[in-house]
Amino acid sequence: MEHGDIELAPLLWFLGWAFAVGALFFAGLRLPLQTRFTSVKSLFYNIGVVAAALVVAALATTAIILHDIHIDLTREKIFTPSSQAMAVVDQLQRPVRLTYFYHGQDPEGRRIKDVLEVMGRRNSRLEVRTVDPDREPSLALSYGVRMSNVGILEAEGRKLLIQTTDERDIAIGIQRVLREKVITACFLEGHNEFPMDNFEFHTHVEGIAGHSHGDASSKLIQTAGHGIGRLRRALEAQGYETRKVILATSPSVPEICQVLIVANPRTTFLPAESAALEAYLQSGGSLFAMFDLGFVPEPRLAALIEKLGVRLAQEAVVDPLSHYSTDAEMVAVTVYDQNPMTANVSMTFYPGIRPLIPVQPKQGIRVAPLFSSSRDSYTRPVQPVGVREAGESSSAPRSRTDEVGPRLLAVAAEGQLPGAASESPRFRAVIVGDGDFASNSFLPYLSNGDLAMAMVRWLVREERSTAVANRIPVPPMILLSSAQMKAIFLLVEVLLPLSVIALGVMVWWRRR
Amino acid sequence: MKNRTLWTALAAAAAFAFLVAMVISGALPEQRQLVKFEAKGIMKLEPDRISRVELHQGERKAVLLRTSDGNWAVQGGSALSAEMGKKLSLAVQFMNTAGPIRVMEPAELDGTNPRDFGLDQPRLTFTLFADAQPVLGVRFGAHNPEDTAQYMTLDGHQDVILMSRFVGQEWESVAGGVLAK
Repeated sequence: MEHGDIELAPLLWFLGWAFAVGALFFAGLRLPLQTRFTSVKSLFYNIGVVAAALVVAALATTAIILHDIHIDLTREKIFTPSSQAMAVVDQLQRPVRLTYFYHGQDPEGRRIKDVLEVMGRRNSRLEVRTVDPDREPSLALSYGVRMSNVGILEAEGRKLLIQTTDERDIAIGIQRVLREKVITACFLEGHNEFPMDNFEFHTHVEGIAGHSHGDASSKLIQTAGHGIGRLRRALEAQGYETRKVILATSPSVPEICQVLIVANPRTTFLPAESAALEAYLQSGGSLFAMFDLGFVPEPRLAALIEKLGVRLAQEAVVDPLSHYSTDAEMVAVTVYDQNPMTANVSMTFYPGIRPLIPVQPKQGIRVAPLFSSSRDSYTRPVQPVGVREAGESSSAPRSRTDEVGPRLLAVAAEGQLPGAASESPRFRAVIVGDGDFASNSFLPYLSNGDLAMAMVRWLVREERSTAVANRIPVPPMILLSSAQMKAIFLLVEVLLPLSVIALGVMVWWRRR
Repeated sequence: MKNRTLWTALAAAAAFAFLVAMVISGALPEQRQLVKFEAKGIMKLEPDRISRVELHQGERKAVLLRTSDGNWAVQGGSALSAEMGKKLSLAVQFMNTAGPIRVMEPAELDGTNPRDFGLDQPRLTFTLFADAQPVLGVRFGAHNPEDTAQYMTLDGHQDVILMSRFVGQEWESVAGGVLAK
């Protein structure tokens, strides 16, 4: 595709430039330092050398500016079309018609036209028709289309309009138009959970000294400033409906909720709320519970969680071996247990996560671990419903009762709870010992978003369809480990200046 | 001079020449604020040289002449108001300055329905004259689906042009003012 191509001519210019600058540099090294000229001639000679060096520097700078080159070296190839859309097309089982109105004068419009035609050729079930609305205005008007770069997806009598030039959005649209029922994701609120209407996020500044969030509230990892609006938007981009549920004001979880998301509750549940949650699972509901550090479940909720095969420990995991940047409590996970949710997920990280203690689940419930911390991890006690200081990790005492070893961090449970009617469908639940990883501030980074979305997809029983990630726009950043940051510091701040001095000494030594 | 020194000097001279060649052959990225205005309209003639305009809308027709003081008057009738004269001058000027958004050549129009462009029964037709010679004949049709441009053809050409809507609007405004009389 055009974004991925490297233009040969500018690349050759650049290589020539690098060679020429190198040749001039080495030629300069061979200039005599002592000329045996008369003092006046020596003065002119030295001025000439300095002037020539300045001219060469200016020339080289100007030359490279005038021969700009663009190469996509990003690991994720974000400027190159993804293969996810193709996977969706490959798996298409039912006919879909796509009429795409592209802007003939817009390079992006022409690019997506070509991409869509390739997708159409890949699977005969996808009928693609690309239309230049300026050439065929009556067709555009017959669809009611009054703008360009718009696609109309039609399948089984359903119609969906998508305005995009990203084939991944089209792929998500194909999944949406084929979906036979509306999926509603409900966000539980009423216990100071992350609000679904909050889109605030913090920037993250990583330095050799540690981690900070770049604002006044940055000393708190768990803060009301974090919302979960970005996850909500990501779900809506997949075509899911979202709504807020407050159990304190309703006797039960609404039937419409295909999944109930409990994101970092801070205050305890009422017994009636726990009962409503249990009744929801008994009727075959799906629960995505993120119980962060310090949350204390009331006895009935704790009993329910134990029925699902885990107990919440009032501890935080410290992982000196696998963590994000310099904070050992920002546990990083790269190895997962085999599961549809974690099949295509790379590194994820959890800013302050509690361990889950495995217990015997109730009969009829199957529990599967999703991921754990590394073998070097240990725990430290945390206060109930407190806040965790970001800088505490280094001085935090090791728990006296816990040995070093991997800690279970997330589980998936499936089955029938005691008391459920025999004909009621099986429930699904995912329990994670952290909520921050899915919050606005951390969702877009590494694979956190992919994992959170995969969990929801499994909970709503869509794990078989291809996962197509929608992009969450974040400022471009380079993620470096602590060792990498130290290496760069040593190279740029120490070795590079020292090498200049060393070269000078070496030249002086040889010519003295 | 030693051979090695000679080669070094030659290599340095070649490298210097290469950098000079890069500077000569390169170009600064064009920045919008530094782009010089260039008239890209479909009429190359200076707008001031247009002395006569024949305007048709349906059955109605008007002939407008430029007077010696630069204003406009209806042939055999009164002078246009200053405001209407300014509008007409601006409309004429647009034909010189406003470039087409898109030009669709006959090959590109294969398989399309000409009626879709609204050019078989144009909304407005006009001819511009300089020194009693016709310079440009234009027909304006329907708006495009986005409603940002208007289809247009020129006398003696098969191409269909998409012109920014404000150009046709200015002419329709002139026609509305002149043909209403």
